[in-house]
Amino acid sequence: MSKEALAFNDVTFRYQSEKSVESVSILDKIHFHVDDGELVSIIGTSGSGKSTIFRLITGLEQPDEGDILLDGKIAKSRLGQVGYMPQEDLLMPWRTIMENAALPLEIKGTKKEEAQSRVLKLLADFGLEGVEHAFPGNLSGGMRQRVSFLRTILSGSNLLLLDEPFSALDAITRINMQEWLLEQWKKWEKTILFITHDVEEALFLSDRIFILTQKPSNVIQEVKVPLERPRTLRDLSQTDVVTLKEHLIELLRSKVKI
Amino acid sequence: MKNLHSYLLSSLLVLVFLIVWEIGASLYNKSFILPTPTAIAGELWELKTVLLLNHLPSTLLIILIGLVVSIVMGVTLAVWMNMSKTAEKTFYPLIITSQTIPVIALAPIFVLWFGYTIWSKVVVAILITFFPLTVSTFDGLRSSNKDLKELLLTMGASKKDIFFKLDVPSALPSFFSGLKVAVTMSVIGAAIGEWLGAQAGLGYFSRRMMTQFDGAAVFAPIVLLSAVGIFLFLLVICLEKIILKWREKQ
Repeated sequence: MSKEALAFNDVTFRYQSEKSVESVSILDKIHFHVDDGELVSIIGTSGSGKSTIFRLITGLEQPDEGDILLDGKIAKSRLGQVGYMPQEDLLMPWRTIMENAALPLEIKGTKKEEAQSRVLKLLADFGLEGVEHAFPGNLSGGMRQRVSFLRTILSGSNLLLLDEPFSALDAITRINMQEWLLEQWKKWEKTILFITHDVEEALFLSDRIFILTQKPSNVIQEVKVPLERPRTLRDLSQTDVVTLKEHLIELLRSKVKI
Repeated sequence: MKNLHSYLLSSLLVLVFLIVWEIGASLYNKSFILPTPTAIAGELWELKTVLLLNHLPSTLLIILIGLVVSIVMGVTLAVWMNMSKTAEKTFYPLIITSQTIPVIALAPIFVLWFGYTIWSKVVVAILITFFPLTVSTFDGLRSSNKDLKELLLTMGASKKDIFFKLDVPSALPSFFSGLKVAVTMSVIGAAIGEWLGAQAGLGYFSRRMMTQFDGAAVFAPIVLLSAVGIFLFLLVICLEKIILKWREKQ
């Protein structure tokens, strides 16, 4: 279990702005790892480089210095290796639910019929039975996110990156989706890295939480969530969790300059 | 029933317009300048075999060849401009400026170049329909969602995957908008082409009747031309509804 699914070894990333010759450092010698089967959250204020970390892991960007390791091996080209679930569901409006979910399989070269029959078997687990021929425009926000998650699972990758997937949902749907996500995580035995700006969400879901400090982010602070699994929302009102939550909020607030 | 209702007002307006025309033209009583709608309808009935069997097919052929060539060339150019920045910089300004050339004024030159063959008319139809098709297809291709493109890349998609699974479906709604404009314009293009030199066709027939001061026979083929335009337009809408059925259900 202690195998590392993902590791950043002193990763530096600079953003070349168009106006000035000098490049702006966004990440400076970042170092962290995520174990196989872990659920880790990244919290940080906007602009702290959370999304940049995801772009680096998926392979959309390459680090200027340092190495990114997947399953213990240095991975230079990472496109197609990790599952990425974006903030907006990003379902294709012209594809049915089944065709949307089958997309990563199609891209990996699976035949259309076979891909769709695999999707069909999973729809019930994702609370999507009966809507396979519907278009995304007819589904609720929560359902669309479940399709998006199914699509991410079907990428077949062990490591899943979830970028604030529930931020657009209403409070009640959001709580349901968080509980549902924990069920799915357990069932599929995946490793999940989860971006959020909601401290409570991070505490409820994760084993560990990374806090990104200000730009350039050079230190990742890390806290372990002192809760056993399975968890309920009530656990969040335990004294040590409340203290931790206040500590985290304090950390984030000190970074925001008004 | 609901459909019928939504066309009720425009149908009423047309009816009112026709009645005013009928009364006005009867009072004016110079049928070679302004024939009455009933006279035009009568003429259309009388000339139905000549118009439908001789002149309509030759005009339709111009329209269809013109549209097919225009679609193939326009889509190819749009795809090329979408793939290569150099191609975009080279062709896009030229396509826009080409619209300032008065095609109608140029048309006699085409007769000089291609003679009285079908091609002198097809060229006019192409020049008129090429612009809306190319520009709308190009804009459609460009409109594809950048975040979706990145998502596809994270799935390991190739350039070909992105083109067929993202760019093409994104461009279709815009392509159909362009096609709707193009089919109606192609009718105009074909008619102009025929005015300038042809042995058959609805445009040619209309112009010939003008020299004979036969007002009703000038209008009869024009009614038919406009019917062709409406028919093609409806055909595109049907096609659009079948292909873009995901838009219907929302």
